[in-house]
Amino acid sequence: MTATLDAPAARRRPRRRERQKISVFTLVITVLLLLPLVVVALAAVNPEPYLLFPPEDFSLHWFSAALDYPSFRTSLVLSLRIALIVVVVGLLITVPAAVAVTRGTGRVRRSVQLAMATPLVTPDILLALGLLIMLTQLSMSNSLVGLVLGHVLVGLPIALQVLVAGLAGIDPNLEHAAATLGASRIRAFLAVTLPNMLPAIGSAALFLFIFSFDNVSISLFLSAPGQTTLPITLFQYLENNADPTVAAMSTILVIVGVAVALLLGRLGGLGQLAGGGRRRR
Amino acid sequence: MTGTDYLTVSGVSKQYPGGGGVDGIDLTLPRGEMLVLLGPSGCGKTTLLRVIAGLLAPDAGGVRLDGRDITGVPTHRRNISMVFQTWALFPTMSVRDNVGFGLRMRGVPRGQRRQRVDEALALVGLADFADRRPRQLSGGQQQRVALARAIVTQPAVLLLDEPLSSLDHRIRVQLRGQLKRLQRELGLTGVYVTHDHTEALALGDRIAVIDAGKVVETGTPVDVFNRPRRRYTAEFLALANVIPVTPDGSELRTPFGDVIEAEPGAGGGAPVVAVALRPDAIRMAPGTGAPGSHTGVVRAVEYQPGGVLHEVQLPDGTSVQVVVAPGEGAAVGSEVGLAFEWKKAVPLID
Repeated sequence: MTATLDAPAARRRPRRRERQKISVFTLVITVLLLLPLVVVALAAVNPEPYLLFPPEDFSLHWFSAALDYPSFRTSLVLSLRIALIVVVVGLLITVPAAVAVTRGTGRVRRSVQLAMATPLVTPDILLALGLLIMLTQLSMSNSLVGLVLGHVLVGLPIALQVLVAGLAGIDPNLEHAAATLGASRIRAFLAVTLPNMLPAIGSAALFLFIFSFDNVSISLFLSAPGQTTLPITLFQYLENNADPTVAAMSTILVIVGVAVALLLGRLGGLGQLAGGGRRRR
Repeated sequence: MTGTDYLTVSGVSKQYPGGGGVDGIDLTLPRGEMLVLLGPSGCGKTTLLRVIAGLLAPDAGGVRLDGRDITGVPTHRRNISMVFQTWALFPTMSVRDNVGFGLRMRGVPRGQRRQRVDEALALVGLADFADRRPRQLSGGQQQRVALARAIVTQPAVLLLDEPLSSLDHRIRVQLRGQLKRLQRELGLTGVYVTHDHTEALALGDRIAVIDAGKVVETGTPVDVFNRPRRRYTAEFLALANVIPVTPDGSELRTPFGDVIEAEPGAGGGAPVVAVALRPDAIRMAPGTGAPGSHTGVVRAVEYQPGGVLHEVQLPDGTSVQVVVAPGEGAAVGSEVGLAFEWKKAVPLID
């Protein structure tokens, strides 16, 4: 049995070597991209009550201050709540859409793909303004509906792209095989295709989550008074104060973001975003 | 049911906008036999298989299975099984769940399902691999899982789409034998698609040679291989020299001047356009000038299990292949005399 177990390992080995070769380049770019985050994180550990880089000393005081600050806390909870709702709503839209795009006929494919790409080319401000006008007319501007809808729209194109790449990597003969074995189309999808899509669905969910959690432009328009999401609260706080509380809270946001990015890396979602869907058999 | 029309394909056409597909296919298959659809890639044999499976709807014609018209029946209610070229094992399921999938879809209770899956895995020699994932298996093992998955549901007909083509030659030959044995022992009715004539010969009870969406010739392997009727069949199988002839009264004339006595009605009414002559029906001797023989030049020599194959070019440009015993060969470029045993020639029509 060793022969059969060795075979996939041998196939994987050269790929790992390739990855090492890019890593120096990747490292430099990554450091450049992460530099602002490092500045914020280091500013947050400075014990003095003003923003300073590099820090003169080390203290986690501002982190506890940030989490104790009531309006930060309520905003964080609100942001998480909205992000989770956005994930659910977004997946309910994008998963069927991705199936239509990959398995549908030519016309269905083009129209769905076009419709789902429109938020990408529309300015966020425009989306937000449109939603605001519409919801005010429906007198729903005080509810979370606007925020959820806006955030779903922003995350939609990316989530769809990830799901389409994931689905495209699944052999359509799997569903055909299920059909020849007696599974109706819906059962074949649920029993065979859906489990194979799970990594892509996970990636799409994480993208929807982080796009909602980090969103400023839509939230700026649609946050009702007393219902501001965390990025907006931070923005408002900075207008009046300049102490490291905001840097500490931002660092917490960064940590959430990095955690999501690592998860995405594990699920292969970042590769799918670049169009490199892995073929799974 | 009478034996001869268990599976009937009548007048099936399926055209693609970009060309290809099948055109007016008629086939019948008795219960318990294996029909091989043999043809080059793109000839429409997979299209036909998918029409039988219900994965493609035909533009015209119909399919009957066990006395029932199944043309409009969706795939999942046809009680068929199909083994795909890529095997299409479900990667997220264990071998056991893969094999048990068809039984689960048919609502077979868990205990019974487990027993039948174990039996099917034992049949293909994979009883110890039930808890593996497909990707932990070798290609040959995956193929056997696909086969077990297909036969465990006791399908009315088993469809196989080049299931061995992505395997090494040695494993292919081995699995071919196993597949034939299983099909015989279980009395399975099958339709097997391949472009490999050795597979067709080994597996088929009947062979249908397909070219450009049409059935060119059907028959038992012995008929099709030894006495092909069509020029296309002989050329595709490439087991014999196909020598063009022109009819001249009751005789056939080769381009290099030999005259063959043709049996009356050799072409069944159609004009005979060529004859097939196996490489071992041509005698070759070094040098020139033997009576009744032709002089040719050896262009290529190839060592084969059955002897040494010589490609000899005659003065008029015709090339023929001649097999002689090892040790009796001639060098490339040398002149040889050829004598043809025309009594063994098989007349071919277009």
